[in-house]
Amino acid sequence: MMRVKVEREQVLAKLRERIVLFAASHLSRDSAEDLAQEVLLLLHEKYAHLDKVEDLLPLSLQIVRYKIMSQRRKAVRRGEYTQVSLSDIQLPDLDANPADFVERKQMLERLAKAMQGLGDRCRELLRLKLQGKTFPEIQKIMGAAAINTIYTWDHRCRKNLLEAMGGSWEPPASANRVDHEAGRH
Amino acid sequence: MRPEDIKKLVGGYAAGNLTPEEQQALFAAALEDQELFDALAREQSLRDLLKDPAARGELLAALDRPAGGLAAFWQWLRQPMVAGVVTTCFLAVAVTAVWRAMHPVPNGYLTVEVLQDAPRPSAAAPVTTAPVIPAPGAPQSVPAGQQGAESRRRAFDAVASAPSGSGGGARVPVEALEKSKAEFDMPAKKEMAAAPPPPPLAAAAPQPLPSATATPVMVATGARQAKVQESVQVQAENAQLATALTQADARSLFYQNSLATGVSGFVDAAGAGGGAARTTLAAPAKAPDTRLGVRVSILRGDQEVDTTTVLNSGESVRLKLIPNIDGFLSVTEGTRAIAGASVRRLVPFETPAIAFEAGGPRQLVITLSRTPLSGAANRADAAARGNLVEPAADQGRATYVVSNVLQDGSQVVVPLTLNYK
Repeated sequence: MMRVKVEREQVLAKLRERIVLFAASHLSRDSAEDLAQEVLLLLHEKYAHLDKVEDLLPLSLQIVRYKIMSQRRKAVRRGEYTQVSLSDIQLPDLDANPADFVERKQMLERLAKAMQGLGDRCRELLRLKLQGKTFPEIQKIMGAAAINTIYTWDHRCRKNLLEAMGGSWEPPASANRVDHEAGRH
Repeated sequence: MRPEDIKKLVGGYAAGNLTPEEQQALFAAALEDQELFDALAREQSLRDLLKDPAARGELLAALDRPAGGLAAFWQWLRQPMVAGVVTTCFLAVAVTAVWRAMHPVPNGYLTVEVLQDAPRPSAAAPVTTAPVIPAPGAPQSVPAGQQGAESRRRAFDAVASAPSGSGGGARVPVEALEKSKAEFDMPAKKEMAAAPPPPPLAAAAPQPLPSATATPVMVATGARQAKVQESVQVQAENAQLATALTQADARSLFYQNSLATGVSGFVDAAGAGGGAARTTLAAPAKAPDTRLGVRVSILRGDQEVDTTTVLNSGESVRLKLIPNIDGFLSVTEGTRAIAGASVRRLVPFETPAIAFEAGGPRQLVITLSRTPLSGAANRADAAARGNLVEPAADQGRATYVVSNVLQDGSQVVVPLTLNYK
């Protein structure tokens, strides 16, 4: 039990380091550290039962994203880009809201449009992925000799799809707002 | 799993296609590699979207829809074979363009440089002629390019001769005549310049050659002066005009000149009537640009032969000379005068009998002048330079010689060589 707890603390420490560096690329350094602190606080308080990296890392990434979005929306709503104190940063609201709905819809439309320009193999690979097939299953279905071939195909297809969407999964306006906000901070 | 392969698992993270082993390897690597962690963080939005089964279903439906429009074309273009063909075509076009830039080929427009040495001694050289207007109703073939002018001419004549209103024989209004004259003259000059003038005329009003034509013009300046560059189309027109001018022989000019004086023309008779200016038809017209000309033939007895006829030694012949103006005519051999007289237009003049005992050529000089000839005669070769000569005309019986000087036509000098066996 003690060993698991130590491992969890090690994972959270590394997570904090990664989150700070990632958030610092979008926000100011102070905001990034505050953001990482809030994520870890949430993981401690609300998700204390999770101790594996396979659970903690995706969850932390999701929390980071929501916090950044929340911070951005708040700044936009207030019209304040320089006076957001740490105490004002809201906790993530994981429930769906109209803003999320709109962003998801836009992202979905962009994805659907971008997928039309992909080649046949990429479209087939995407179809299998959306159907929930794992890479080994996809390998069998597509008749690839090695799993690395599927990895490579998926890597290329993802790259093409990302390029077709302008380099970001999210709408450019959202990304720009995040960058703009980071500059203000 | 190799680190580079682990990075390729990022695509499976968003769609949730990773096996537990792949997930463990990816996340463990992400904890150690900031770049991989950032990549996963950027995939988070897509992962959140694809968690929704409805969103997945919508994307699956989009994948099942066939690509249309630009996307389909782009997808088709990205096929390897098509891309290869398109690339090959582009390369071929590029290579062709470069090759053509380095090896220019003549295009459809050839640059023609017309250089003129003036004056020319050749009698057959193209000359600038005053376009000839055929007489109404004259039985002659009209060149295609001149049909417009011809039709306008006839139309004008019809206007001029038609009775006005119901009163037969009433005078045509002056304004109508002037308008018709203007309509006739302006386009007619242009078309006349581009069309071959007809052979001999019955009634003519010589028109000055428009200066805009790029025809070689013989002007006795003695220096290369005209340098004209035209396109092929213009050259074709010029060639047609040159051909037409060549066909306008000395005989035509001879009679044209003789008919110019006193024949119908459009003359403003201002002051002639002592009142307002008005236009009349068939009024005495001032002779326009005059070309002096002489019709030369040899009389062997009563038979008229051309000047190119080879005569027998000791044969006595006479020269039959017909001028196209009222003037003075002389025939000389060197400084020796053979004959000379005052002559009248189109009235034949015959010299006394001429006989040479020795064989070979004998050089005579015939001079026609408006004024009495002075003692100092011009050099025959210089004075005759530029004359237009048409030998063996009138069914081989005479030679027509007209001067090529339009304005300064004070005299025409005709060198004549009698060849004896």
